[in-house]
Amino acid sequence: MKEIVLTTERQKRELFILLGCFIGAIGLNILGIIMYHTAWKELYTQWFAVLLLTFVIYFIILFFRLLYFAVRPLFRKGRTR
Amino acid sequence: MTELASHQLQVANWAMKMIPESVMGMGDIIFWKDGREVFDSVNLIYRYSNGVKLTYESNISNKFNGLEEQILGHKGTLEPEKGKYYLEDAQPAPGIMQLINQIEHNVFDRIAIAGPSWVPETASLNKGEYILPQNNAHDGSSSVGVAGDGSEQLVEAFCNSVITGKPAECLVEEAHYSSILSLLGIQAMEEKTLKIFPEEYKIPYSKFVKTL
Repeated sequence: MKEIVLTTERQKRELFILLGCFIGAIGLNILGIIMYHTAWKELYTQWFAVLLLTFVIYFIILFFRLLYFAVRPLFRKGRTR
Repeated sequence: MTELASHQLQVANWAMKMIPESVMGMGDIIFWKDGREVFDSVNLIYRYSNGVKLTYESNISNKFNGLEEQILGHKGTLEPEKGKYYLEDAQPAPGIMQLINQIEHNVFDRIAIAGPSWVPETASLNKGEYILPQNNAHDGSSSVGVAGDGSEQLVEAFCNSVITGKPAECLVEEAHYSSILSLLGIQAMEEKTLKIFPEEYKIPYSKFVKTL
């Protein structure tokens, strides 16, 4: 079996993307509060929803990234021919 | 009426702290057409002096709604059998949930090909709150979070009355009014008229101060 190596650089990148997703989820929470005129305390009372949304966004992005990585070699091969 | 409605009437009178002043209704035999004389489909309206109405409906051939009561008020609704209450002005869902819900609807909902001229006002989707915090009966005997169906408490109260010689509080009076009101309901259905609660059947009862 092939060893899967997660380099420090890759780990940092993934954590950075996750942080971006977390900030995005917080942004959506703020947007929701403003749009639906709900209480500002939801910034901390809805932490579980924000956390869940963080991972949902992360996995959606991951899906498209994997799709991109899967499709990219096909175009590269095509270019060399 | 005497087997089932009497219980609802007792609960309603206990909650209202008064008895209805009149009743009207309709009853028919629409399912068991084998010669029996007891109505198998009844609809009755009992009216209290303050305008509150107790609507009683019973169909022997349909169990969709089960055997339950709904107390409808201007602040909310109580469902004692489910152990729940539903506020009229329910707290809105958190903003983030509403936002996700809207995004979800925008992505997955079907698009209407024509607009309706009116939109039906369907029943509230309010899921309500439990009256008691603990709402899980272990043996499935109760939906309101108590173990057992109350039989033990009934036997206990009965034994207590036998031993002490004291009758259970207001039990006879409540039974009296439930029975009279049930029979009055039958009379209203049979005669197809509005029946007023007869003065001669009113008895002293501390709970029903408003009508006595």
